Amino acid sequence: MTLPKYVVPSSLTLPSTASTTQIYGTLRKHLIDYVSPSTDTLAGFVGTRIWVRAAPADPVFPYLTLRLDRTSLPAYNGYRETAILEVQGVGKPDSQLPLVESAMDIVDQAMTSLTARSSGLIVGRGRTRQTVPQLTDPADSSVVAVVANYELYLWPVVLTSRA
Amino acid sequence: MSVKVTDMSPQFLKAYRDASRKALDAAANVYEGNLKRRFMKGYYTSQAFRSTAQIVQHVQREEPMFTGNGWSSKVGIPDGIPAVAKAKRGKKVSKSATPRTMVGKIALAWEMGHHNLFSRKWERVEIFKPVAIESAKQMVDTYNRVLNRFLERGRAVK
Repeated sequence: MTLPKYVVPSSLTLPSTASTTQIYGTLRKHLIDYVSPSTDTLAGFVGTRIWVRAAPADPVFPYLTLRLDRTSLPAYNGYRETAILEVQGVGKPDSQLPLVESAMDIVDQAMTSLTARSSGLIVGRGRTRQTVPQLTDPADSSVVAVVANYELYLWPVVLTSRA
Repeated sequence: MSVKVTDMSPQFLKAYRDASRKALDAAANVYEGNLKRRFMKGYYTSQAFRSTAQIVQHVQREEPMFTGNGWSSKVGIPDGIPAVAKAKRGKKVSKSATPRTMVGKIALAWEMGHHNLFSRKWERVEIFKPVAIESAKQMVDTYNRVLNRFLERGRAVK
């Protein structure tokens, strides 16, 4: 078996839940591909700047970050996961707040409608969303952010397939 | 001769409400304890404030409140507590030079992530959420144990 050493463009088969990297890729692609009823897409707000965990150094604003926390209860024998996908929309200067809020509206729509079942299963359930209050030292107060948490149920292939 | 058949649901509901309040408080207490224990392993690295000590000092849990969705309690740092700047040699500890800097806001910045003015990097140290996830099962077990104990006690009294 050849182990993947790094991710390069087009190296992932999506949608897929065959690995954690592909779960991230699937969620990211779902967000990028989503078109709202008013034909808005995230590309119009953040381009393809949807990063996992954190943006690279000296980022272009606004951007989104994704982060997954996955837990599994013993009742499901470890197969079914309850995952919290945290999406942060970050802008600078604070005049970008309406842009970030609008981008997060599209994220809300995309995640609320999420049912990815072509490989394993990812289903969107509940969500919470907050505009981050203005922060002070040591944070840059001109940065604005909106954070949303989406509760997902996952039956990922990476856990449910056995040889 | 007659047999009186009585609906005991008002007594049960009162006992259940009292027991579930105690159970929720006990579960919140588990989280509060785990949170403070985790802070002892080290926390934020802000140089301008004694962030870790101040945050640990101010972590507390609210009395449970009855809401439309049952009892609710909050564990965290109350709003409005000003950060205290580090004492300089030979001088008294004073309130922060920037009075709007609050302990809760410092914790929030580190938990949510922020562009740090000092390091000029994106910084994030999460403690509240991971501890909540790790504590979930222990909290559920505690809730069930305390609920059962108080319901059993209520039945014995009756």
